[in-house]
Amino acid sequence: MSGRLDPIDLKPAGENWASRAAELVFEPLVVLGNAGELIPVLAARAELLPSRAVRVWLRTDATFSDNSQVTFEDVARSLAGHHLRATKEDSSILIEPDDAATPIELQLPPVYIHRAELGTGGFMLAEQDQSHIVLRRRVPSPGRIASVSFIAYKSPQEAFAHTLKGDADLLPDVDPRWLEFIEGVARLRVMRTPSPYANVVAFNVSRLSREERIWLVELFRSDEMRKLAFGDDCAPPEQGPERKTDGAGGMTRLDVLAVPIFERFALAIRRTLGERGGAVRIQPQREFFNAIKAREFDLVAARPRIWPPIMAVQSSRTGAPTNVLGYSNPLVDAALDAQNWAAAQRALDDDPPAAVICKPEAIIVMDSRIKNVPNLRFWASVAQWEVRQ
Amino acid sequence: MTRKRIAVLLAVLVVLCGVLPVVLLAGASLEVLQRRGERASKEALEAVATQAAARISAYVAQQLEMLRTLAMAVGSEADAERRLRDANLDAPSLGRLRIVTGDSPSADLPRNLTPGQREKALAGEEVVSPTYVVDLAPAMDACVPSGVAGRAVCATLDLLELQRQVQRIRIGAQGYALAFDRSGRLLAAGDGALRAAVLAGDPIAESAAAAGLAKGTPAPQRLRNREGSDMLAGWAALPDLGWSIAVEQPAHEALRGARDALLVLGLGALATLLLSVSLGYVQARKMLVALELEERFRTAGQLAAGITHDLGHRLTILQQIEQLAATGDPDYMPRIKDSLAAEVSTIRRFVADFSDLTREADPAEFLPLELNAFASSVQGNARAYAAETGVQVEVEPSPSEAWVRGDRFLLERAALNLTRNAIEASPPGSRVRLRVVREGSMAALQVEDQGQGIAANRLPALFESFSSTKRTGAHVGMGLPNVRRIAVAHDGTVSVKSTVGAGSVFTLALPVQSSSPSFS
Repeated sequence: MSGRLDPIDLKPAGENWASRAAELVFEPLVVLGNAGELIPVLAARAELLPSRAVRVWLRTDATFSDNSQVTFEDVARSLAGHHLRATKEDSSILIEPDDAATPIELQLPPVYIHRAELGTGGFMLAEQDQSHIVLRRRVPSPGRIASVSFIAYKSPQEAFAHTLKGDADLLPDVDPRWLEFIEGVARLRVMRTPSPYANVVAFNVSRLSREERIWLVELFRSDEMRKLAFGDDCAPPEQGPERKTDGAGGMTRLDVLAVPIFERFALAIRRTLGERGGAVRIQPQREFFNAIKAREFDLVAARPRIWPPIMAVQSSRTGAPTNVLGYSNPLVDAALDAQNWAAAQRALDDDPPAAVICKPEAIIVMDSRIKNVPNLRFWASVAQWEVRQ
Repeated sequence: MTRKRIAVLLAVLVVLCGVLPVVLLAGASLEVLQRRGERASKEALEAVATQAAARISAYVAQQLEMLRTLAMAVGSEADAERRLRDANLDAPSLGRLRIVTGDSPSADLPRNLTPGQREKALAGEEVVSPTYVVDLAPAMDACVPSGVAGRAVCATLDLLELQRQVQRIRIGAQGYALAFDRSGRLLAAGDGALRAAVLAGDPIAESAAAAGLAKGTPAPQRLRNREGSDMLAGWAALPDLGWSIAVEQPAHEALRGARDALLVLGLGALATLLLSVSLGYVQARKMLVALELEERFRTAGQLAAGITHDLGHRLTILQQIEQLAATGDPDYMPRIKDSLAAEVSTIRRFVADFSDLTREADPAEFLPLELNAFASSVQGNARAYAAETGVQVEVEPSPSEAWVRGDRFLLERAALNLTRNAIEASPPGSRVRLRVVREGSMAALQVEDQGQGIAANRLPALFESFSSTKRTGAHVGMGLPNVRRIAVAHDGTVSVKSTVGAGSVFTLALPVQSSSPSFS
């Protein structure tokens, strides 16, 4: 991988590599499924209660890396740091949130259960510094991964070169353009997994009316634009039926804001807009975010996280910290308050803050000998991977 | 010599005389074939490299032409910047297109053009940078005139397509192409294992040759690659770009055709050889059987003639004795008795000669024998017969012991045969000398007489069967051939030297046993 390697810690799963390493060492009680359901991990069973609390039954075989049993106290202590209260029941644990505004389905999955630095995952931390993290398997198992080293290289290119050279066995987040280098390299294989991100055109809701935005959403269904911007490496999203609008009637020229890596995407947006296409403003990261905050844009080419869907709709709540576009829709807020995600999604579709253009795949290059790798919970499944001898 | 051995020798003779020249000729032809195959492979690889170089040149020329066309079409327009950027969508290989003027910020300037080149570009000249690698792909900066003074249209040509072209070249199952820049840096590799060197800029085994080729030094057509494999290579240079293209194929794969032909022809030649040997062997055995049959009939005829003659002679004498006995005259009885005793003795010798022929020498049963003692023993056995003819038999021993190994009975039969012949050939009063000598690794018993000698023309056939001309007494010509048979069976020899009027010397030579044996 490339970039800085932060020390592994117990913060909720983030976007850095240390948080991926943490997925191998620590486990949450549950994870969130595609449909917003809770899938047990350290819990043997989990129930979402009508009161928006969660009742869990701990796995009886759950132990920390020192082989000590996971207790109610460990769970309560781990959850307390994340504003979640645990109450011991006969054979289960009742978990309630302090913050009722955020669904517990979003609050509970990122919390790792730990005792000091001990986790319950298949690996334990052996060593770490700024350039590498080494994890060792808790219980050796023939034919499975014995240790995992996260190595940080200066750039994605350097990381790719070292992987090709054989210095690394797995490289995540590979640029599709580089896959041609893998052709004919028997040692490596390519794995594609669904990405939690999507390429979207976000709207300035203060400048564009609902009708104009719906018109733009329909306009951006164009396959031509998607292919111009991303070629064949980005799959179109599932689309609802087309809507007829005359929202373009009074529309002026629209400027497109983007960071440098999305220059081509921005140019494709402008071309799709035709005579309504205005300037393309390619800004470095900092200026880009300043322009967003100041609402100095019409359209933004961006790649926000859209999975899990429940999390995506939460970003559209009025005043939510992740609602950087300043979107506000009382219907969405009401649906979220009622914790009716489907209604919130319908309200968003009816008054769209953005048009989803396509969903890129996450491309991983790995040693051909590694098998039994699932698409979901990729990093957390390392302990289950098998290695062909 | 056995029949089998003779057949083998004949077959080998057939091989040496008939098949070997053919095999040598085939070998020479195959060598020529292999060399021609290698040369053809190298030429084919070079043709592929040249073709690839031509395609790459055409591609770069096409990109530059597209840049020129764009520059002339929109370079002088007011919204040239916007239109050029828009053109990137349709022509991604042109990389980032932009207008460059004297006021352009340094970030907008093509980074691999020298200041001199930038000045030339602004002055209306077309300039291109050397190739470099950016974002894993080779790239090149180029500026062309925009049609407006002091303004150039510049692009960073993305040469990823060239990388693809090189990567897609496949020669056989394991052949691939490589592209190098002027310095010998690998830019593209068809061999997946070398791609890391493309990205990291590490030199590879062929880098020096590629850099040399860019300077005009011919590159080797046979080389060892990174893994030490023997490779055939074809090279082509692109002087404008400073690139070198190498197309390589493992020699074992490139020459597989010639090698297979070599193998087939070699196996064919071997099969022919084996067939010839087998046929020769079988035919030789058949011929030998026929010859042997013929020889047996001839031998049987000669034996019959000898036996008829000798037994006929003996029968005549016995008839005369019978007639003498029929007279009933007691005065004849002593004569009849002596004559019968003489005839019985003669017939016994006759039978003994034949009996010798039936005994085979078995080396496993050979025993140590000291020739001086042996000579004395022979002297003793021959003394009575010698005395009858008035000949004296003497032994002349060697100064030291002479040990050999052998079948004492057969050797004694051979020695007595030579001694009896010598006694018969000697005039009364003369001497027969049994001399023991050592010559190198051989010890010999020489039997020397003082007879009339043997004519020189008879000597060559003396040891061949039934060549005896003596028909006095029991002589069917088996004696000397039997002596030779016994000598050969002991890895020894028998020879004769004779001077007419002075006598003959027969030598029975046997291999010396290195040291005296110990008996247990």
